[in-house]
Amino acid sequence: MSYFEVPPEPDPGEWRPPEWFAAPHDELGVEIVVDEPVARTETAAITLRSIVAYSNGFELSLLGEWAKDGLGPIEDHVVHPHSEQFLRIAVEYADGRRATNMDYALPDDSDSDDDESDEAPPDAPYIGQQHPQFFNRTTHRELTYWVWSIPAGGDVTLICEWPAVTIPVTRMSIDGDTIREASTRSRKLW
Amino acid sequence: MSFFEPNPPREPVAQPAPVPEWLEEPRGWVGGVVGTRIALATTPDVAVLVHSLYAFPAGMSLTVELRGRDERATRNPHRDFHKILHAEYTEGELSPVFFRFGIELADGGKATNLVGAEERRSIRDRDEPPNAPVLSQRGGSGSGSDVDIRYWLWPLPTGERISFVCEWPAFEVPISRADIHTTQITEAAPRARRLIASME
Repeated sequence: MSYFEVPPEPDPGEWRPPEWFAAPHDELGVEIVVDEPVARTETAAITLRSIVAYSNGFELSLLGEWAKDGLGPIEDHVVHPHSEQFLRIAVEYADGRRATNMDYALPDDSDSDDDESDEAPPDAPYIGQQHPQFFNRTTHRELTYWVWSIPAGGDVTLICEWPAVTIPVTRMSIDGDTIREASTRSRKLW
Repeated sequence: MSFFEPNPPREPVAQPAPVPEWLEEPRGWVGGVVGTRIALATTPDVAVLVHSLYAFPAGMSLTVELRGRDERATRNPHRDFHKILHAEYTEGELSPVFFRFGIELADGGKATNLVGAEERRSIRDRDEPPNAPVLSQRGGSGSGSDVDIRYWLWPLPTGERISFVCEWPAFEVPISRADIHTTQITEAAPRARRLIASME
């Protein structure tokens, strides 16, 4: 037996995220160009870049930007719910149901709780941050949020607030029909 | 003296020399969203996707995603991350693990990620813009069964169409090609803009 015994290979296939937890791995998605500001001041801005629709939900691609030194020295807190630098995002459906990116924050931790993925589907919608980029960007940050599910009717309202750069609660209406139509065109890869 | 002695303050870092526009996207800018997602190739094990296209006045950035169907599959692309991104040769033969990618324009001009060190230096050090398109690999990342590779294409494609081409022998992806109309790209380029911080 070797001193450094190689452990058996893990079987990552044992666990799979529930379908509401992330964009479907076996779909291409259909991108809708938006490229419009959600909120803008002289020293900061939030832009909705695009929406990628899948059969069961959609991704919001946002750009947060700020003036040099506008957020202080620790810009990574843009993605930490308990930080004032945190960029707060919510979606609201026409039926009044809503979700925010603070819903799953732990009370005493700066990270989101991953354990919810084992639970039953939420009443919908669900919003989760995808692909957080943890390398420093000193003046901007690209942020992608997965939203489950596709709203049955009406428009979707995107709500943002960014206390650290004095952007107040701001709302943007997104055409629900465009999302619903695009979601029917997302093709399967396998 | 403390056990954990702090490092002396860093010397100020000199501003890096400007990089020619044919080598990377302009710093302090954000590109216009093109809004195209392509499945360039699909096999039973992997898919090659092109997405995150952003148009700038002088070129376009894009991401190629190598998506493994299943982490359980033995052909998990992420395991070969370095070899996928870097061309290695054994007795003159290019490694089958290296992911081959390129573009072709309507006028026949093409650029690939197979650029030798000498050619790379020549492109980097020249004073005048090259007379052929340039495709620069701008880094990569990977997790689980996926690998993302970012590219910068110079100049902004003109003509009727642009073709994306790939081949990946180790993962049994044959030469595969997909075209898009360049109108989508040229319409997005005017939406490129400076970031707030670069307007100060």
